[in-house]
Amino acid sequence: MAGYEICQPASIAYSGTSASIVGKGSVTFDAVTSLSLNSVFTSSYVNYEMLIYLTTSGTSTDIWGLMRSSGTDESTASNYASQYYAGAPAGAGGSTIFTGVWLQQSYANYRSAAVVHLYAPNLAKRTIVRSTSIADQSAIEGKVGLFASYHALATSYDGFTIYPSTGTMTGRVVVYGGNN
Amino acid sequence: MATSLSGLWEPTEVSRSLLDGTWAYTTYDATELVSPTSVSVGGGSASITGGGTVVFTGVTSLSLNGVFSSQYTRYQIVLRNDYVTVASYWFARLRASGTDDASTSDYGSQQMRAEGSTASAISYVSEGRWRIMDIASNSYYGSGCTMYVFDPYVANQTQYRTITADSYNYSVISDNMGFHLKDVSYDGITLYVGPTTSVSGHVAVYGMR
Repeated sequence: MAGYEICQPASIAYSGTSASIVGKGSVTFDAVTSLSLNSVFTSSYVNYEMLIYLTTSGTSTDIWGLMRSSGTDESTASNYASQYYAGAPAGAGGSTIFTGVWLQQSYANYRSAAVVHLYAPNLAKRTIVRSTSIADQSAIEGKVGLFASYHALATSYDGFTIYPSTGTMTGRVVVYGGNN
Repeated sequence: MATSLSGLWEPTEVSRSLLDGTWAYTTYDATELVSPTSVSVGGGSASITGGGTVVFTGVTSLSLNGVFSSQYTRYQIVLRNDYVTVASYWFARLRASGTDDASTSDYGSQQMRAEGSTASAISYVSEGRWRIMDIASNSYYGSGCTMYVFDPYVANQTQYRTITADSYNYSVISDNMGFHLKDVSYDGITLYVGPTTSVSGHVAVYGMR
């Protein structure tokens, strides 16, 4: 049995210039302030991986996620918690925040990417998310970010929304389901 | 092209020329779900469901037998556990023909941990086990871990890396990486929690071509 398979969202919603489902199920987006993947988590899989690649963001920003059910974001900030570990420019520092699922950082006019592990988002259990990201800060310097988040409610979610805290984002996202 | 994760980086379709001048194509999945040949537990129970995921309830240890083979060199182990009643740690030992290798001097781990405003790095040697991740105790917590194991079935040293998230308070990162020094082939792995608790959850192993 195949290990991972692409999970194409049943539909997408966005605010901004454009977004579309392409190829075997990836989603490309251009200058959006939010992108929602609907019905991308199903009972066919338990754990998921998501790859996010941003060619640019309009401003330096953090990229966040929200759990989503039947087309509606779960936006109660106090239900989320995130831990951050920075790898640059020197040493590391931890910090925490209660906003959403912290996915990655992005610097204005530079590229960034994240590998995101989502544990049991479609089960009625606490959803746990782990992201490892790299963000170019200049032509020669990148910044590693490690992010761990959870959503406290024991609720089943079928979708996910990605958004920058400020400005817009342009890039591509793809979700893989791990067979079980 | 197969729609598998690592297919983005590896060829998933191989063509060969036939004598009649035509081409034949063979498609590979770059990752495959691997079912253990059997599981054994300390306390509680476990079962292999579906294509190979192991669901476990109230166990102190979980041994996945016959899960590493010559078919793959690298493996991804995806683990999600529910809450525990005592703050604990996931550990692992390599296993061959149903017996754990518990030799103390062969295992080494390095942990990078971030909790709140504190970040730290600690090395663990001569513990006779690998460190996998912290798991905090509370009636509604849970943890997720993706573990990569390199060359466990090859008679070389084995390396591993974990990417973790525990849902304690703010969320906690306790990533680990390390080695096993023996040039020995292992076909299984034991995951266990310590010091004094049991755990429920599920674990899936993927072979990576």
